[in-house]
Amino acid sequence: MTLSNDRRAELASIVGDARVLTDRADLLAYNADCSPRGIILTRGRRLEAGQPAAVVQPDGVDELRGLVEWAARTGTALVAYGDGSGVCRGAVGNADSVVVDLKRFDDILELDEDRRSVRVQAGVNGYLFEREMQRRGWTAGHFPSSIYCSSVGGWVAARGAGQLSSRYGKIEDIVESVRVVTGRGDVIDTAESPPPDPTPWFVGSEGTLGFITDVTLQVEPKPADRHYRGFQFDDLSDGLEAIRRLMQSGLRPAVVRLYDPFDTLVKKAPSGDGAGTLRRALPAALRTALEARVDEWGRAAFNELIRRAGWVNGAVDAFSSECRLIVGYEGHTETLQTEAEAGFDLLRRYGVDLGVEPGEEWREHRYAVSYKQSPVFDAGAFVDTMEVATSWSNLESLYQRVREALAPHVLVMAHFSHVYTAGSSIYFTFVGSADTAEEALELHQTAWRRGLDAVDGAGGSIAHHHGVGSVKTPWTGRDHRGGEAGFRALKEAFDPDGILNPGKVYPRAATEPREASP
Amino acid sequence: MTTDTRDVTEPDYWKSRGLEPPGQVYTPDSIRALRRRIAGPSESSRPIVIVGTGSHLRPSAVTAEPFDVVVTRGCARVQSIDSTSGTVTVEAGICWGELRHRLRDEGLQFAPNGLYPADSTVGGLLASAGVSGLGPDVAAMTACTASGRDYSYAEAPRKAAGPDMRYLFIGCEGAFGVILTVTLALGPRPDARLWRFSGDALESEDLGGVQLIDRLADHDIRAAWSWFDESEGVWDVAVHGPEAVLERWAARAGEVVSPELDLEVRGAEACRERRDVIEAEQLPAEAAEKRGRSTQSGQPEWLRHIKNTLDDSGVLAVGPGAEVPKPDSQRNSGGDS
Ligand SMILES: Cc1cc2nc3c(=O)[nH]c(=O)nc-3n(C[C@H](O)[C@H](O)[C@H](O)COP(=O)(O)OP(=O)(O)OC[C@H]3O[C@@H](n4cnc5c(N)ncnc54)[C@H](O)[C@@H]3O)c2cc1C
Repeated sequence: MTLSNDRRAELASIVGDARVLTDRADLLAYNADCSPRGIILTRGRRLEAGQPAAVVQPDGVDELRGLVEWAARTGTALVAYGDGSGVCRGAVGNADSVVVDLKRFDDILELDEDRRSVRVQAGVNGYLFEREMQRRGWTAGHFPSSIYCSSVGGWVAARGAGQLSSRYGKIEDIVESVRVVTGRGDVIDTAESPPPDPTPWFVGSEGTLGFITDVTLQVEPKPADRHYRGFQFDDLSDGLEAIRRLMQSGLRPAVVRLYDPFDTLVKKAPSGDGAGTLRRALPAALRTALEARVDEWGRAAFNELIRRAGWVNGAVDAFSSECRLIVGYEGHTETLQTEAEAGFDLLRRYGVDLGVEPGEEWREHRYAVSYKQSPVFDAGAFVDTMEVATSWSNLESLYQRVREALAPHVLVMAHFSHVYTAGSSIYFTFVGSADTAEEALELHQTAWRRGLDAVDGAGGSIAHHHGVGSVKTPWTGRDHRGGEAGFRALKEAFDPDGILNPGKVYPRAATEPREASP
Repeated sequence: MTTDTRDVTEPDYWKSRGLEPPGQVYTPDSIRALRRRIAGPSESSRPIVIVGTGSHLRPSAVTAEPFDVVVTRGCARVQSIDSTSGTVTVEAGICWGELRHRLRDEGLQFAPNGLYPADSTVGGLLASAGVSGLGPDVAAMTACTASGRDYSYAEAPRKAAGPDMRYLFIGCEGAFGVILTVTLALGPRPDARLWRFSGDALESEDLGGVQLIDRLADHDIRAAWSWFDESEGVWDVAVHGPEAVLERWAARAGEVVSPELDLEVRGAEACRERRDVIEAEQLPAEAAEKRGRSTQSGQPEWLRHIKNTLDDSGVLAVGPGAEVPKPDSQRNSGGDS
């Protein structure tokens, strides 16, 4: 749909002429989030997919309500957009929708030191927000790898997790309340709403129930002290047992990241003698590719390697079993040191203490690794991630089943980085390669289908912190069996016209405007 | 004259709450029968109020009379214990105190953060508005809406698969459906200490209210639960962890509050006994007292829409939206029933 002049004028009367963007360059800037599927489409010059009819940049609740009223009247879908770092195409619309960029909701409203909470507008960039909190001596404790390029509202809307989740919890553990403008144009402040508390419905709603305008988060004094170390385990079972015992001992660390053998290989060639050719060559090849040091020959070799995914995955299984762990404690006083020492002692019963260096090295690069994906795409391949979760007793089985499902198609590695007393997430990274964009899209789709079917079959949860977007909608109903009826009830309550981000979280309902997926 | 009984099968239970006694009281003894009572064909035209033991029922949440009552207490089995994951799966009618004792009998040491009344059912604790401190510990759950739709939350410690549908049942007072089974992550309890703080400063701005807990947290000391006993003028704080850590924490806690407060350190057994007394005696009494203060307020429009969709034939005689008292003493963690 091209926006007619009349419709454009109507939007301009709500948000101001300069805040209605319809130039091709602007629309292109909003045709994808950070989902690898979008990157494949863009690199394959499929630029029309995901392009909205317009982008609007409202400021304030009244303008948002005006937009909602306009959308209901015109039957136009509205797609909330934070910083666009989502990886599931949640913030991506189509030619029949208008993207609502919320970056002008950019104030840190009130830090209440007595109550230990902060009220912040949803469009504030995550890094700028946390930097300001720390300047004032506090932290919200939410540090996603995407902190530089994600918004506070996006954290809440996509139900994210930060790297220090073992200490501070996931975003749903940190959020106290939200203020939203619903698809009915109502403004709901959940802190003031009578029971039941609707906050858990808006957290994770991905723009389908309302625009989150303000968020109240818990804060803690910023940590003054930290202790990080690396450990190595003979195999994954030992590593998992160690981190389970750690979490169930009450020695709650801030960071726990256990890498499976493949991910360990990529992070660092294992120490010790007898390392075979593969054990030396594979990490070198992959790291070289990831670090953009690929020449033409290297590129061809890299793709060749990936296309033999089944063989490479099998070879890693056969030749490598060691797993690396990064564990870190953060806190305020020397009391922390006692706890950290007790935690490290426990881990030494299961594996080898590698000292502080690997821990500090991880800390130094903790936001860098996720941005190293472009070279993989440059080399003609793609990389994507799938974050799932389950209880401890099911964890290794879930890991094996997903790996087996993906291994014939793509290189697959994993780490366990959000760890609780009752279970853990598994963060799979998969790398595939194909000759054309069409084939890459198909392979990418196959990997998702096989992977999430395996998760479903193993009784795991299909999403731990990236949300659903449009990529995972076929599986939401399996994670919440019978939950779609509940979702439709929430839609009826908050978005009866189906104008808010249709086709996201659950497949599009017949009554909603056209599906907003590529 | 009516007496304030806690037995929901007694007419006085209802009269003392300003409600007419129910037409029928059903106590299904299996999850299937419970499900059928809510979602199956009914021989009565009266709507239903779901109760556990009735300890948290707010009369002002009841929207229609006369009604029948479905008591979940008959569904009180422990279905399974997963000691690797530290989780237990129970039928929703099991009482909290009973569950804790069952786990102890099995030699298990799980203990959650927070305190809960021993005589409340797990389903009732979760469904009560403002009591659902246990919500984040629900690793899996099955439920059924009034319109007969089954719901099941795949087991995971945390997830990001859309809006949290568990909360159509947790905190909703049985307005939309019934919680059938729950898998709870009960957390570890490797070792424990009970710290008893006393001194006039407990009434001060600096160390009264939640300030003491905050002050401890600033020194990386995490309380599992705490309880202010006004009559004795003491504040009990439970901490869990390995022995070396507990010793260091105790020394630090003493320094942090000295000289304003005295700290007496007691062992794991004292901690368990104190918890038993609070949960069996003090919390139920507090719950009853708060119930008396609950008032009716407006029901937001959006709530009516959810109700109309999930309970389209008006099977359930409960409509959330009535005001519940906020925990008044901010002091007692988990005592906010
Ligand atoms: C390199 C990289 C690393 C990442 N690492 C992490 C990580 O460590 N942890 C993690 O949790 N995620 C991570 N992500 C995913 C992503 O950053 C998160 O999902 C983030 O929370 C999205 O925030 P955003 O502001 O970019 O949201 P967007 O991408 O703009 O939107 C995400 C979804 O939320 C909706 N939305 C956004 N803002 C609002 C609002 N105010 N009101 C209503 N709906 C809204 C959108 O419609 C969309 O459905 C990573 C992504 C990248 C690219």
